[in-house]
Amino acid sequence: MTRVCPPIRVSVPASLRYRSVIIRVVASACRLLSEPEISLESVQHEIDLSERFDAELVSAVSEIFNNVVIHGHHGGNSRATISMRVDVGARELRVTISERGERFDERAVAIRPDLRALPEGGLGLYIARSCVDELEYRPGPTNFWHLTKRVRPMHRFFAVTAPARGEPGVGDGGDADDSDEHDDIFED
Amino acid sequence: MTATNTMTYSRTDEEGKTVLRIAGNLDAMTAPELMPAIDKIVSDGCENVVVDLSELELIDSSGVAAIVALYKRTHALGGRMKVSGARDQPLSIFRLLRMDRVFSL
Repeated sequence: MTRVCPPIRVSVPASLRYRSVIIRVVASACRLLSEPEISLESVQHEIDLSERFDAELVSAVSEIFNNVVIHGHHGGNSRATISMRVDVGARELRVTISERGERFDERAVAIRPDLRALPEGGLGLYIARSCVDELEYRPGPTNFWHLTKRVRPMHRFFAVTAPARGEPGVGDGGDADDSDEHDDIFED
Repeated sequence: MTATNTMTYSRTDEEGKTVLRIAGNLDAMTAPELMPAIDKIVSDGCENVVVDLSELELIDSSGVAAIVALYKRTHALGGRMKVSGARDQPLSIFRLLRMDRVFSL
């Protein structure tokens, strides 16, 4: 992952009152993704896609934050801390949430709830999983939630002028600048 | 998209139709504030309920649960409920959960 800036870090008390702070940071970080190439015809479409990207990542982070506070800290504990790190790449955002609350039992939540039954619970993790490309939970003395969301090739397809016949199209592997050669710049 | 912790709601009853307008953020923190209004709509026996979400900025699974609870309780009493005006993030969530058709969105 080629970062476009140093990691963004924020820590808040383990209380739902502070979720808005987390959301603001995530939404702002989305704006730091590299500007895509935009043709005049696709400006509105690109805006729509960008807003969808932001909304999905905010939704996922919100659900994980809820989960951590409600289950890991029994509804809230203002003396405990939840930390978030956001790594901004050229075409992806990685969000890491860490805290030292009670471990979460993933097995207790259905991976795919029966949506036809209109469930009133157990949707948070499903929403989070559905809104990002990768969601990983690593329990321990410190519990880690890793969320990764990428700008999809489809987003870029609609954001650039169509290639001429015979030229490689968008998503054909032309990400020459995607190497990790500068990854060590912002390492801890 | 706003990131405030506020949610407001209002209820109007006209010509046999009850409209519940919800604005702001309906989430784990604010959804409990909505429950008294939901309880009242149910206890009043409202049979034609519209939940207007045109001013709703953000919803999470707890907010969805509140809307689903109203839907189920209204239907259990023989009434009907639909959602109108959902857009942006709330609409995305309802679509993700395949509730857009259930709520006539």
